[in-house]
Amino acid sequence: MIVCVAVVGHQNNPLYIQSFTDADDALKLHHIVHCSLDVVDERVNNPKKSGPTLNETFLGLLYPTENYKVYGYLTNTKVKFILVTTDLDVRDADVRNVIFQEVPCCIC
Amino acid sequence: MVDPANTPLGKMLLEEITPVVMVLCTPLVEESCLKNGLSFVQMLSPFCDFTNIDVPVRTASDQPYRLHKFKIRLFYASDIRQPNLEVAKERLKQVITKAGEDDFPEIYSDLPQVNDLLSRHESEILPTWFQFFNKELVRTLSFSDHEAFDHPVACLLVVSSRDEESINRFIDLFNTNKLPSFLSDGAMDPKVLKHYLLVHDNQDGASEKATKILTEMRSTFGPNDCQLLCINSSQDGQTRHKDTPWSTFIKNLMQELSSKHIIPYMEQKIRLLNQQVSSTRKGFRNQFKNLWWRKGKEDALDTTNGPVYTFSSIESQIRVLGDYAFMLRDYELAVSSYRLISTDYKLDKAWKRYAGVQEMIGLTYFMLDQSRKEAEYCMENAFNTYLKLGSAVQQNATRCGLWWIEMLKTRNQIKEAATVYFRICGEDLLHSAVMLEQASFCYLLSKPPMLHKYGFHLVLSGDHYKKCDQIKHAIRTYRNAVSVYRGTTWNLIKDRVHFHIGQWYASLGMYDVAVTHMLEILASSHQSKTSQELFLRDFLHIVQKTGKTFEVLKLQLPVINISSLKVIFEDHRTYASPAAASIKEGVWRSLEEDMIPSLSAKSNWLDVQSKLIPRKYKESNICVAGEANSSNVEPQNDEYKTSTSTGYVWLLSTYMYNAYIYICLYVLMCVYVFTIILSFGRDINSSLVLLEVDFSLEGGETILVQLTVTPRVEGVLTIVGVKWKLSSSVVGLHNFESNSVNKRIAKGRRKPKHSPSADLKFIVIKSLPRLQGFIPSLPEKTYAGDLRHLVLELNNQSKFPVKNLKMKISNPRFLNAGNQSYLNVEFSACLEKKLNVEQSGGHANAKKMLQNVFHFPEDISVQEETSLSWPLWFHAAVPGNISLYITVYYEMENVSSIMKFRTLRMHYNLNFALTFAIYVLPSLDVSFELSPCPSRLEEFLLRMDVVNKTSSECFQIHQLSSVGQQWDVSLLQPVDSILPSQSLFAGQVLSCFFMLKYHRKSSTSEDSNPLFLQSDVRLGPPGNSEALFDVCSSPLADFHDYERLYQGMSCQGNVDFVFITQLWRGNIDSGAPHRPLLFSHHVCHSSLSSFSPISWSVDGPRTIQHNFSASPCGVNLKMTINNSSDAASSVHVKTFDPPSSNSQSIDATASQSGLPLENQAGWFSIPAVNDTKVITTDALAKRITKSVSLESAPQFIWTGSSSTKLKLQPRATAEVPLQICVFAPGIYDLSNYALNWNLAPIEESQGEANKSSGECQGYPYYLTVLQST
Repeated sequence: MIVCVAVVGHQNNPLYIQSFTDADDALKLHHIVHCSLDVVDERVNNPKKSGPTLNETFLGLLYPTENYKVYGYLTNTKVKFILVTTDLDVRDADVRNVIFQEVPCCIC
Repeated sequence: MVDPANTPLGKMLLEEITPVVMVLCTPLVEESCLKNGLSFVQMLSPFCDFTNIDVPVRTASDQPYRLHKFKIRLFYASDIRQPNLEVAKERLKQVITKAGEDDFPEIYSDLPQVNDLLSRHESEILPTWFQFFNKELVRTLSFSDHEAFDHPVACLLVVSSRDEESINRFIDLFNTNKLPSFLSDGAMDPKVLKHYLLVHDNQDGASEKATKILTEMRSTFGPNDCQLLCINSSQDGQTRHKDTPWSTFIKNLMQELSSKHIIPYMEQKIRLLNQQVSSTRKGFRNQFKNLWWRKGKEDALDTTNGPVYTFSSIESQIRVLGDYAFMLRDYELAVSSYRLISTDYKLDKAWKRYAGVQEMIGLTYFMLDQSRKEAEYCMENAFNTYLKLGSAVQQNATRCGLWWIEMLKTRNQIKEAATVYFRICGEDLLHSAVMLEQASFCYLLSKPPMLHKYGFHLVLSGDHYKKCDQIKHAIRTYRNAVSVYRGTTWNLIKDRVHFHIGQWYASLGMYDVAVTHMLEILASSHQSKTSQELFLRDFLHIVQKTGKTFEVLKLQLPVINISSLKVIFEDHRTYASPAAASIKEGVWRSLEEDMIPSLSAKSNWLDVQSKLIPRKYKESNICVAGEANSSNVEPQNDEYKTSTSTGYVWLLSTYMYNAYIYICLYVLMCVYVFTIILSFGRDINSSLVLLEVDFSLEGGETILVQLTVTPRVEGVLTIVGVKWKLSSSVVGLHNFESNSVNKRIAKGRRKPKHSPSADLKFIVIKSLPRLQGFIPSLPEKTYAGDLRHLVLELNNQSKFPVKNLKMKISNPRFLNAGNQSYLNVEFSACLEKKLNVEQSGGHANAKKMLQNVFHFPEDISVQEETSLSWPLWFHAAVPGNISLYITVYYEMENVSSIMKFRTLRMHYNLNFALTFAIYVLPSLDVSFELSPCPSRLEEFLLRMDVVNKTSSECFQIHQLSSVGQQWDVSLLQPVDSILPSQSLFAGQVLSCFFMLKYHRKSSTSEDSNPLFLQSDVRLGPPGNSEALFDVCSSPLADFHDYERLYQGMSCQGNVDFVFITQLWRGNIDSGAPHRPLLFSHHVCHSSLSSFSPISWSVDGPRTIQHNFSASPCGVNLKMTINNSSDAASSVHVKTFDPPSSNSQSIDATASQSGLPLENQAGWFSIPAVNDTKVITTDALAKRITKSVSLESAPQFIWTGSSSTKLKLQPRATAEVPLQICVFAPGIYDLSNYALNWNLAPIEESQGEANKSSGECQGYPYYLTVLQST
């Protein structure tokens, strides 16, 4: 289940954060999204480390925490789409195809 | 690469993994040592670390090497046991608590800044107690039975010389059951190296007895293993020696113990063990055997710790071999031993031992500085293995993790180190907190720094600390976290961080600091309502606890939108309402331009100012001391009141201050009351009257607050800032000076180098009269055309009269001043035409009006404490919204002041609130169309179309007047026939025809103003005796003037119409409901201008009988040409034959040259058709004649001159005789002629729109010619 979707701006400022859980864990998800920005920056600054997906806006799995997986997508304008999911065995390709091609399309 | 031994981890290992010497001593030894305040071990420990021992070592290989650094650890036998977990935890907790106290940030120290942190060196940032804590944590694991490096290598038996039977004591010491458990339970070989030490206290007497005992010892235990140590050489224990004489002795003692006994013993043991291991475990055969043997055991053992290995088991021996080799720095041997045993333990599923060995392999690789990957892999493997074993070996995992972290840090893999810290976190919350905090610093120190994670881990760590009641640590970590979130828009996190810091400080009783943090979260509009309530409640609670009233510079509640700050004050400009004050200064200035005397014209401004104003305030604004305008929050009150305080009759100027305050909270359950007051500079502090405003704000509400100050005395007034109180305990301050950029002075006279502070500085001068103005009963809503009588009321409440009043109205089309005589007249009756009154009298000041400035008569002044009323006329000229700006200029009498005059500015507009909004709705749409009457000269047919565009009103038509030149308008048919009711209902269309006749008057008439002659048609019921309205006198004439001006340039020959209707009852706002409303619609410049100034008519017989058999018939006609313009014109009449394609009965003929005026010809011969070519010159005629054939010969031709030119004087008439010759009977249209006219330019030409030339086609004129018999 996707628990949180966030759009983070060029200056790492939150543009939109929406959590889809019933529990009162907005703060926690904010923290997770905020935290994953470091990983985004790291990926962007060291594209070599991100493997074969060079020049790729899809950042892949950013941050596995105990309960969540965080995926990222970077637009050309450095706007980041961050996705937090509880599906621990989700495939990268699924996330990439389904979510990060559709979500930006829906928004842009 | 640095030498691994010099890295932090290397140093740690060299310190921690060293041979242990077990100390067994008698109580008397301790007693002696305690005289110095030290235990025996404490006394010897400083001498156990050798930096240059330089001992040759030969282990398993034949190649000896030298050992330079060496260290032994001394422990009492009683301490050589696994520490009690609870005790250890308690100690660690104390360490943390103490660190918390020591490291607690000072209350008023600034919050750390990220950039500041990043620029500092690692050692400055990292709290020093981390290292100490980590060491303590590692030490809690000492003497575990699965590792051999904590097993004592040697035993130091110490007996005092005072002890009875010293030799026996030595034997007793080792045999007592105080020995560590693993010596007795077989985990370790009890045969350790023993060394015997006799301690002699010099204070007990001479050392002869000791020497004797030593000799005895040597004979018993061997000569090399016994030593004598003399201590306490000074007799009284007070003497202080620079160099303790026995320190060298102890040092030598320990060095000898190390180099001569311990190291050789270890060498020997390594060699022995190595031999055993080689014989049993090395070689293919042994390995196979071992493997096979272990396979067989596999099923039997299933305990978590694996099988029990005694010291004599080969596994233990290999482990000891490895550890000894490690301690003697033969890392190659150590690693090979560890690897050998590692697989054994794995096969035996002795996981704890396996992990321990893996750990050691990793460390050994690290010390060898080779196979880095392997080292890390081993550490990870060990760590994971420990973790798998559960909480029982959590401490081992922690230690392993810490070593691993150090290894990663050495290799600059700081981020990885951070993740290991994260993984170390176990069930123990307190330890986890410390680990998380260390992890956060790793993220901070990583390159590039990962600040987001730094913040996150700090927050996590803080939460853990909080759970363990380590509030101070929690505050410290959260304070660090603030640096990450401050300045970002991650408000949810930021607010929580501040909130918790505030709460925690409050729980420590440090309310002041708590408040500063709580202040940060007050304006948390993004938070949910519950959070906001929680924040605010806690904040106020804390504030209450402090028992103080806080003055806060940046109180965020409410949010003040300082950029919309406006300071309104009055100098010579005064305002009738806040609405007027909010109008741009430029609007007023352009309005007042020609009314206000310019300062420079009268006198040098320098003179004026330097005389009256201290120089330093030259740049300040001037305002007049006086009484306050208390103004309400703008939108509500439609009556803008200016209240005078009765105690002060000096009515002077005032100024107001507005702070716009925006509140950005969601919804607050409780409504908090704010009190806003202005704060001021010192100059005239005591002589101010301030109006405090109490208001309450609901959540999310934005209000405008107007604050007022009234200076009472002359001086200088500076506005410093604004203060407000939140719920009577917190005072917010806002200093304008600090935000000077945003300040805006609404009415300040700007100078190029105007300092912002000067904008808030006012010179208060002596009081002056101040007029107040008001127009009662100004309609809010009306229909276009509405004409009203209004009164301007000017009120002077001062002791001084004012004089020289002038007034200017921005839009005279809608509003202008009337004559004083109209003040008390009855409306609409006063407009009626009066008999025997000279018409032009009412319009005497027409020219003056056009200049827009209305001068009140000179004898008019507003006396002290009186008021003046003045009539005004209002005419709603066009539909739409009107903005009216009115400025009244006045001068003060008998007042010597810097100000000679003041202005009162009034503004009425729809856009500003609904007060006095004038809303002009469309009413009647009136249009006129003129067409010339072809039959008669100077007569026109006028069609009037009226559409009632209102939705419900019914207008009664009253009168139509034509204004302009001498025109008479008359009805073509009685109104009854077209509109019996004389009422025009909503949506009704009326078309009405009138005859407009030029009514010539002699140019010698007395009337000097022909524009304002009128001719009226009463449209009312025939029996109506109601008087007609006089459109030629004020105010209708005035408004008509403006209408002419707005509707276009006037020109000669045009006619204007005024259509007047009445509305008896209506649903619009009506000032006087019992009287009808009067509507006048002005239509100017009706289309006469499109006609030529030349008009003509052709006269002649219409029916002729003629005998064509005798001769063609000649017909004489007369053309009368009239020049109606003021200019002389030349007219050119041309006749030409009609084209032959005309209808049969009407045949065109070629024109004939006719009659030149000067050459009046008589008879003429009938020319042949062919000849026409020769005669005609006209191009058109030529073309036509070509097409003329003999068969279709025209049956009439123009005879005489085909072209006649004549000059016409202005307003003159001339006659031109025309003649035709008809050849056959029939009906002929004689319209085939044209008039070209040219106006001679006249000097006072009235506009470009005038036509100066034109061509007119002839009118149809039908002539019937009959054959006479």
